[in-house]
Amino acid sequence: MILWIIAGWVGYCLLPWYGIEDGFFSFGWVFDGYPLDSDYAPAAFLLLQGEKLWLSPVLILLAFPITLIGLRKSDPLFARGLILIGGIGFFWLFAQGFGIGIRGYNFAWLESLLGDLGDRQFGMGYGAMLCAISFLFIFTQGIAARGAVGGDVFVAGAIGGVIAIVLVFVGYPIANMLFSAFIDDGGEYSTSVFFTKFFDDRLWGLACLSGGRCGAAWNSLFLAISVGFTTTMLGLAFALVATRSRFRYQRSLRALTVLPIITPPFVIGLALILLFGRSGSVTVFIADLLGVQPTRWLYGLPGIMIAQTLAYTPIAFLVLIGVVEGVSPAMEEAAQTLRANSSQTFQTVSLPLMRPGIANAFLLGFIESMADFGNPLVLGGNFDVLSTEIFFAIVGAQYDQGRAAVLAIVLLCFTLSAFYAQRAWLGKKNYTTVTGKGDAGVHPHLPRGLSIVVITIAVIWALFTLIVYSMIVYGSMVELWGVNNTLTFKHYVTAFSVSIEDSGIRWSGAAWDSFWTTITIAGIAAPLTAAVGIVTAYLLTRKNFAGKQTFEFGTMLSFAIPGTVIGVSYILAFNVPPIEITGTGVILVVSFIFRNMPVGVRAGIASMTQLDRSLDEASLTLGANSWHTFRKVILPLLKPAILAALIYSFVRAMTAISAVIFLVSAEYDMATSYIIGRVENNDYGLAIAYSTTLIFVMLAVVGILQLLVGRVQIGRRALQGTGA
Amino acid sequence: MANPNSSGTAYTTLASMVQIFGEDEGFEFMKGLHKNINQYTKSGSAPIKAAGRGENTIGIVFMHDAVKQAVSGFPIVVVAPCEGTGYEIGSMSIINGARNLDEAKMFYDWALSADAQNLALQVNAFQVPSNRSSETSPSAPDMSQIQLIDYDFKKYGSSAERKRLLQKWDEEVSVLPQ
Repeated sequence: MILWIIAGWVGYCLLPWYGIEDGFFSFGWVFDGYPLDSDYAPAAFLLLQGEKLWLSPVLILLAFPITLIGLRKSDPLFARGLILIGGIGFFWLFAQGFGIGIRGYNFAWLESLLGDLGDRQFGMGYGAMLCAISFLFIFTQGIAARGAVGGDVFVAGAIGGVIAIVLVFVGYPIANMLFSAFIDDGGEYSTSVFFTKFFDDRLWGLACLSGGRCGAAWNSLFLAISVGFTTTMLGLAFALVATRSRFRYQRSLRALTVLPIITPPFVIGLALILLFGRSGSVTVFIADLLGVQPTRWLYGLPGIMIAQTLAYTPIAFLVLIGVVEGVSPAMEEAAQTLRANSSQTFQTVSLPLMRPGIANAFLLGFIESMADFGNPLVLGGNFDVLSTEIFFAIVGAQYDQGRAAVLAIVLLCFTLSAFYAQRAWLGKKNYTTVTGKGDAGVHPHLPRGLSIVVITIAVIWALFTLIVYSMIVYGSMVELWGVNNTLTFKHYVTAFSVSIEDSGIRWSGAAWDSFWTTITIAGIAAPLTAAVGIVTAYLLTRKNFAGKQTFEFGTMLSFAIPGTVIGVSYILAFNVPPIEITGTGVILVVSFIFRNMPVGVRAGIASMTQLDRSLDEASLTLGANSWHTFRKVILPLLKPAILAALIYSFVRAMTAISAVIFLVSAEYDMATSYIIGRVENNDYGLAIAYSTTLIFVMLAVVGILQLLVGRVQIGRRALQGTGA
Repeated sequence: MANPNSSGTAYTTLASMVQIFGEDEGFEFMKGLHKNINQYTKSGSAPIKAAGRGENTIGIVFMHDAVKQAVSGFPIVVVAPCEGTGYEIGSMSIINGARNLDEAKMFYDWALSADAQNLALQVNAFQVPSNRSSETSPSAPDMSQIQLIDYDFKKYGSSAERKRLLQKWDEEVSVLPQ
């Protein structure tokens, strides 16, 4: 507790209270009038100079907890004091932030009540942030001292922390945007506007049953269900081939499945067009062969489905492989000892135990497809889906924020229903298979018939992926893809040339700037994402507390919302104080953390439901606290989930486009938005060369991560000769 | 062409037709055009990119987008309609209460200067610059060869008129069979 009080004081007296425009870590502010210049001054110095007097209550609140230090933890005064101080302090920080903005008071009633302020303030900086954190944890310590969650300070703090950041970085911007669904053209609130927009024919029309065009809502729903289904099936097939078959090229198959996930989405779209488009090579070849007119069959549902299945099968695979590996061989061996044959064992024991993984994989595929933006944009044709409709409702000629918000609500309803359907399907059954008891055994191989089917599917799909990717590599090495097919390396030279001069290496290529920014931001975001995700998963599976359902819902929320909506809501919410981070690197990192955290949470939950609680209980009975148990027992067993979260968030940070395109700035340009810019300028060669390079970089990173995190070692005996 | 609901480019096309032919005849024209359109793309410049790759025959776009395709080597010929055509002017804004108002004004002055607009030549931008003393790219549309209509920005830029036209297009044109 003393630690958090000190942190609060440091934030108040030492660090600059407001955000620094040149960035905190440039440290230019240290020599530029700190601590007196009011742009850089800590709150204490501002007060001494008689400025920003509304910050003075914070000082009093920070002084209070010191008087409580002497009290016993069981003293009710201690708990109540901490809760009051923390709560009021946190509330006051945000109230003053929202109340006073860059034009003085933000609300007319404040101005009429208190008169003209005659002053203004900008966004909060690290000083304010540290104070807010300090108040938050003082508050959660108070809660824990009152005996909530078993009086566990770590758990209370973790729950409070996750709730606070999710509220600030997901709840606030989204609520901010959704409110606009109820605002009419004149800026007044009205529910009728909402209902006219909600029951629009462009959303719910069913004309496609009679030859016309269906509404975007039905299109999205149908697409998402089919993609969720196909990706789960393919992912399962891959996972089974990789772990339980005699198939020889398991490792290369594994590597191959990772490929699509590390590809900027529009590149697949472009490759598909050049293969299967109206004048694509495959289309033309087949049309010539059969003597038919080439068609535009790719544009619309088939194209989007192929591209999304290519892109999201690996996610299903990553989720499923952890689960398939985690199923305890002891159960399967028990079934076999009871004389079940291999297909019976698979159907009645292995498959049901994989249900959490299958459900999670389907949910992820469904949501990803709903939220996907790149593929429908390139391949959509006249097939409207919600995510692109939302984007163009905002940036397009209609400029109808209300419609965008309504569409976003529909989208949310779908994803949330899927979420609840998944829970209903899993039910209250127990899927625990990794227990503290001896767990030695070998996974049985698949039944022969199934194994042939699964391997065939995997191989065909792998070949298809290979063709698409060799097209991409080829495309990066030709003069002008589709028009002039002379081989050249010039795109790589333009992008990544390096010259060695007296002053050292000069990164003279056009792509280096955005490349390093991307690597840095992805590198910062990935571990944070994994950490937040795994901690959340731990809380959700292991701890019981009031409002757990809402908590889970909140953490999944950002994933269910398409990146475009996140992007737009972020610039709307964070462009003005109190949290003014538009145009910084921070907003990119934050958006990645909250976009990708749900994958960490899902992967963590899926693996954690397989770990028996008796493991934690053993550790707790032996006197370890929650934090210790989490670190020493749970974390090592969660390596596959951590790896999945790390890889996923790193890779997504490098390939995401939908939210990023709103959030980049001249200083922090990301690889994907740079590539999109090149595509728009017809620099396809450079764009594809850059994408290809990214693919190889990410392959290397994935490999390194795999080495660093290591594989989980559940003490099982290995199969002689072949390895487990 | 693009979907005027999502693309400002396509909305400019629609508004130009209404101004050239009058509203009734303009919409008749759009209905006739509708039969020949295989896809209303989302993005304004997408039609000409598709044309460059041979996915369709003609793309109706802002001319500088077409020029860009042609310059990159795609088999595209850029033409303006001889009956006259609409256009748009790029713009900038300063936000009320901006933190760095003076710097913003300096940027404004710089962006309007001939030197700044000459930079367009280096970055493959083929718009016609607003500053007369700046250099225009030799590939950019030749304004003396193009007949511009007197585009009413005040009327057709207003959100009420735009909403009305778009709704009419939605109800009368986009629902027709293709």
